[in-house]
Amino acid sequence: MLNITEKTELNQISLTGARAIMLLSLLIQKPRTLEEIRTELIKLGVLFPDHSNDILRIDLNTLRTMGCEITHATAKTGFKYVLKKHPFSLNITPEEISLLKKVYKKVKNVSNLSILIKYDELFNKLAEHVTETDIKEQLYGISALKSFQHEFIKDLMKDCQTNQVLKLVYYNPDTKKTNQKDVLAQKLVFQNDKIYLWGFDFNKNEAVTLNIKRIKSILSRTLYKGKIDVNYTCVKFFLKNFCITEIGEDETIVETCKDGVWVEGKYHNEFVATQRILSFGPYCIVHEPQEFREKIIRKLKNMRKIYNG
Amino acid sequence: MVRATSKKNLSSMQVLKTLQVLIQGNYTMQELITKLNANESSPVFNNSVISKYINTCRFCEFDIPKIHNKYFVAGVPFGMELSNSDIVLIENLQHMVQETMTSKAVKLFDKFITKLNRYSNKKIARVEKNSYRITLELFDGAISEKRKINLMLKNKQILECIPCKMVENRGKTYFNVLCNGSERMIDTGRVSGIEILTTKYNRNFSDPSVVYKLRGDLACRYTLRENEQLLDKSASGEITISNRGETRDILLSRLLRYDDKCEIITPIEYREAMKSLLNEALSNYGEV
Repeated sequence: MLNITEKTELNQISLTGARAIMLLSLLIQKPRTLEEIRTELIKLGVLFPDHSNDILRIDLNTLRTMGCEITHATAKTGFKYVLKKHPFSLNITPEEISLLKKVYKKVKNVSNLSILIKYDELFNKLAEHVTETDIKEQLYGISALKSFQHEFIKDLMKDCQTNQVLKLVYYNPDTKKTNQKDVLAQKLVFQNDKIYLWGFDFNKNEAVTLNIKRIKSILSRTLYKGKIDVNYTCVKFFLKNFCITEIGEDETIVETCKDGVWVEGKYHNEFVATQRILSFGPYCIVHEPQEFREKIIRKLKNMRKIYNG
Repeated sequence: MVRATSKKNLSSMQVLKTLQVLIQGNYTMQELITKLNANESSPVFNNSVISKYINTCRFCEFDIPKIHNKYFVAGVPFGMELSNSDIVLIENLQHMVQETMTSKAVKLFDKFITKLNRYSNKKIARVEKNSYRITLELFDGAISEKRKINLMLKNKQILECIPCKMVENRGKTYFNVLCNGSERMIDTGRVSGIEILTTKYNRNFSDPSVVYKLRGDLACRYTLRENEQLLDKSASGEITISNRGETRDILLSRLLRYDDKCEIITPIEYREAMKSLLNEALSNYGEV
């Protein structure tokens, strides 16, 4: 922080003013006792050893008069002065917060998890430099990962990269019970403000999608050296123009026509494929495979029944 | 005897007042004198006093340059340590604002960056960008003036429509319009031009509260969103949810995903819209 070595023009500055600013800077760094403040200010050359502690108390009072909220040094604070709030901090307005929220909402859907973790850290960093409690809380609340533990996400990302089989305890909301699973970690996906672990369940012998909030604990990690032939659900469909849903990273445009695009989707499992195709509504026509096409027709008919009844 | 804790140092206060004013904006010496003396009973701030106080702040490592006769705080000693990756993220946000939002938003974000630059160890660049934003502003203007518009699309199609609102979905901006009586979402990337017509419309648009039921395992594992409220939970496990503020097409696309485990209850227009989407989807397969 402050590192004052040049003091040749002391007559051109207000020494007491400089001392007040340096005192503020010291308290911004961390809470300090009167003795600690005294030592630091003497080192910085703005307080002399023969000065009494009353001078420092007056400086603290001056800061308070200027709008700084500084606690008293009591046993509760370890006899340290704690700066709670000050008028020289970064002042982010509610309008700016609202704009940050809007723009973050736009970028979060086009960012991967590593980037989202960095955004989360950035908002936390900004919040640390704001003293208004309300604004601070709003900054902490912008990130979609606010309720996730970064370390846990980072570990899972690493597991996916290094082919780890996780022995994990998973909560099933349908049965309201936890069960143990052996899952090969394949991909971590951020979708609709949730994080899913895509993997291969050795007990079920099928591809699974696990909401990471429901992973209660990871009991062990083992390196998997074999090869899993994931049964991706591949679907070829025509997507008409004006569909509001964008092509995802597991989809490839194979041909562009006047009325739309031909797309090949390679989905983690059939459930993911079905949800995806249904979300396109009337803008999508499934062509292959025939079995999946019929399944979609059946589902659409069942859905229509609800509204015809 | 006056206790030390009730005393204050006037000279220190004046330095801090000077700093406080300088943090708020860019001022000439004359403006500083006027601004600082405005709250004093007698004019204590003059040119030489303020110069001394500015020097005091500089001595304490505040970066206070004087450009075009104006003083301002360009850097503070207790600022934040932003990493290169933080700067990239902020610039990404800035880029997104410039690419997809109105000039009012761009100005506000630029102001935020200027402020952030004061408190940051690294400087964030400000880039001007005007293309495309004009279209967004015209659309916004048409809404506030309640005027119909002609949307020119890149495929040469022209749509005469009523502008409802701008909508964000998965990082993209859409114009939500009423065209030939039906609501449409037009990807702004497909729009090549916009013409504001003299014809006015007299309607207010707001997303109604939509109520739907969820069944089965979906009801068990469903997590309510910020704009949703749980209205009821039946003994059989069905849940009834009220949703407000989600744009119609986005909501319907999401509810379609839920298969036959979801049923829209009210409003009737949304039920009808869902029914018509399903009919249309089935007609794609020759199923009437």
